[in-house]
Amino acid sequence: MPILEARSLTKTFRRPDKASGFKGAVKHLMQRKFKNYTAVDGIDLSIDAGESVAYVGPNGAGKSTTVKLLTGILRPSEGTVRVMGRDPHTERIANAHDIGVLFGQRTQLWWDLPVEESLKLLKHMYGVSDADYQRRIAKFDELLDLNEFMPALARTLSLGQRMRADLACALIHDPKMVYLDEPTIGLDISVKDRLRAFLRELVNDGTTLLLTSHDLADIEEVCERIVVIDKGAIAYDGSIERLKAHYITTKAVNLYLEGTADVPALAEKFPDYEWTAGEAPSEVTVTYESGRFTTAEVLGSLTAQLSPRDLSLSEPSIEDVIRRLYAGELTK
Amino acid sequence: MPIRHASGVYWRALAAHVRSVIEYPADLWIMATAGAVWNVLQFAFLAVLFANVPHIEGWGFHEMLMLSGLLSIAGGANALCFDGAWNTGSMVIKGDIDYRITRPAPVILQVGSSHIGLQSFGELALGFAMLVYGWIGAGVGMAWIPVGALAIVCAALIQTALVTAFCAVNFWIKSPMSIFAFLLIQLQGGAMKLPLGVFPAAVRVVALFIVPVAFINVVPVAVFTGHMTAWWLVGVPLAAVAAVALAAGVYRLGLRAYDSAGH
Amino acid sequence: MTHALAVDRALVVIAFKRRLAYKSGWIFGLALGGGSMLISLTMWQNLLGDGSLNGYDWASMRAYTIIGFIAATMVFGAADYQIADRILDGHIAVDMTKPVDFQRARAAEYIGSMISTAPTAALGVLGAWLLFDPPGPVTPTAGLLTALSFVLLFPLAFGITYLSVLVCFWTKRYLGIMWLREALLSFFSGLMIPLAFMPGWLQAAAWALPFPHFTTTPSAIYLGRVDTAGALGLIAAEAAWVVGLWYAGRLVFRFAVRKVTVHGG
Repeated sequence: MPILEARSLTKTFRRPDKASGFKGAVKHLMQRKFKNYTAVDGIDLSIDAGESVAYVGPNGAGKSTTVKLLTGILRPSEGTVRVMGRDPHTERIANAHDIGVLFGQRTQLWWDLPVEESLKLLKHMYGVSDADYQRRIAKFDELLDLNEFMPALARTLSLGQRMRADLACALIHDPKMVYLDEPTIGLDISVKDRLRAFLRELVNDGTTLLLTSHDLADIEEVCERIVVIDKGAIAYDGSIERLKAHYITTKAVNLYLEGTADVPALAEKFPDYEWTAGEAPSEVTVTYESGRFTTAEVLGSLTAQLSPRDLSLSEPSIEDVIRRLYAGELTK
Repeated sequence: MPIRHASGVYWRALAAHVRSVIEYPADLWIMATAGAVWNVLQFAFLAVLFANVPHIEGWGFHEMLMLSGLLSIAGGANALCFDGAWNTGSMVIKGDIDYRITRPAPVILQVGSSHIGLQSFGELALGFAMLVYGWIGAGVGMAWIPVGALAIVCAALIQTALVTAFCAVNFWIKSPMSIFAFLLIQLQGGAMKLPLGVFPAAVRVVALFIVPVAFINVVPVAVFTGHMTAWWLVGVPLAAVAAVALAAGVYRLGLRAYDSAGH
Repeated sequence: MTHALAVDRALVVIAFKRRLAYKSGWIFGLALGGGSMLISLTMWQNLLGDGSLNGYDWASMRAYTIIGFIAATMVFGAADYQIADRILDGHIAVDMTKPVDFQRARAAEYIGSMISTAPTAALGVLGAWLLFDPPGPVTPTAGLLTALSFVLLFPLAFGITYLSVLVCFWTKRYLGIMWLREALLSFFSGLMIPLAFMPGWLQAAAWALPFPHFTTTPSAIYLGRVDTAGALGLIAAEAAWVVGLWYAGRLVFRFAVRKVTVHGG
């Protein structure tokens, strides 16, 4: 049985429809007009216990709104959400014990209290035993260096410290279902790496994870399954491996030739491949369909006939696939 | 059990804030001074007024002091115990209600305990001083003290609940300023330090039965000083219950209408 | 028009429009100011009846209360919070990088927001006029000088507000400071009770502060409690406060700005 199940989930917001400025405000006061805006449009989503799901989409696609619907913050306009069989909005308190939430853009730390006080307040709020609390804090400290800023006031933390503290807050009660909305936003590379390692550990321990991010490295390193949302609807739902196998149908080799590369001549000579000029005059990129040719075959023919000074293989990137998904070039 | 848990969460948050206040005392002193000065000036207003007139609608200086004192105690208690309610509007706009919805405790208590109004220390101290001074000066007997204590508790509850309910209007009107609550305490602060008798009937009806601010200070003081019959005291706890129910109800409806910030 | 003046004007206009677009603000100001005015009038009518106290009868008290309402609307309805918030949340660091004088820019914005209280004040006065029919100014000159004393309230209100807002460099919240300032202003301006009711030493204390100009000065001129020479003297004192507070603001800011990094975190 899935731990989370959403059916035809829809959220429509009502926005005042008014022109800007003073005139607009007065006019709106006279005749109140509203526009409906559908942020999430009939999403079906089912997540099994232990899965780690990346939820991605361009800005304004409806990611955060979905997370807010799944966590019970918003009431769906239509459709249903069940987390461990409960409606997260109407059975809010019971649901809250089982979920952990992090919104990377905001903090849940008490702004003018030391970090430790925030964690203790949450400990009591979730009814965490002293022993569990100590054990978890020790573990968070090991992975996130929590103790470094436990006595500091939340408002004095750096962004990286704040995010680590917020992660500890979201997980202090060992939730079964964890939602992380852009947990690495604005962080430097070393903090990101630590955070990802921490999240992998979390997934390995069996926590179910739903993660949204614009950083695809987060997704590839932490998640197995990816759900792509665009304009409020799901554009892709499946494993990352399948996404790659399905959509990454071409591979590429970069060649560094002696002298200038004559792209049209090369294209005529090897009509089976696609040729594009590289950054330097001597560089050229060869793209080929991975179903028709093996890499060895391609490299063999190219090195034999062109004797390049050097060459490199470009790894197919999931980023390209997702960019093309966003752009609408690919379909389910 | 849920009630015990909720109140535990509430008191712990409040206690944590008190601890942090003690560590950073600059704000405490400014705020407490502000609260105290405000009340000293209330006292000065009454002292100046009654140096020129003998009474208003049959109410003398000491009786009027009791009115101001009890009002300050109610306001101070609200600021001490539930000042976070004022942040409802800005939390709604910034989406800061989100996290609180995902936690297993009533949102209204989490928001209410999210801040302490440090002016409350000054308000409470001076409020009590005015009430006691007025009480003795007006010759209200010792026998009334238990009723007085109950009136103080109810005053704090009514004040807090009404302010919270008015702050919760910001779930709908989307403004960082709690203008309705502000309007409430400003007009209340002006009108409820005068005897009800100076006002036209419509104002009296509103203050007693629509927005029951009169039960915070005017009704109990009027009973203690013999301007109203003791039966009116029944209305004090009733108003407290009604106000708390109103606040909880408005907050609940507000959370249903809450649509967070951004998407 | 010089560049600096153009910037001032732009800031005034932006602040004015911003406040004006905030429609609930008008209604709020009207309810708050109008309500307070009615409460005050109720009390004075009850106390004065047909008699008079310290030279105020019911007719002159009506004019006095309306003048107090205008002053209160102007000063309590202005956008003091915006300056405070910028200091408290550290945004002031951004302002410091802009090629405009911080104090002058805030003054322009503040005065713009004060102008936006004009509809509230006008509606309130109109309503009060129709309801209470207050007496006119004692002479046309007095009327003119009353208006002048009101004009000076714009920079004076800014001076007091700005100086008090700078305290935010040392605190985490603005509310207490605002209350302290508003409490002192309400009491020592004569808004709560005319200064003439107070004992001599308290009147002397009030006149040592900038606050009486918010109600007592314009009402004294309007009601003819001072002659023309006296009126000019009051206005000169008001102007002196404007200048003094402006430079005091500069001085405190220079000292306070060293704290900027603290709030920036």
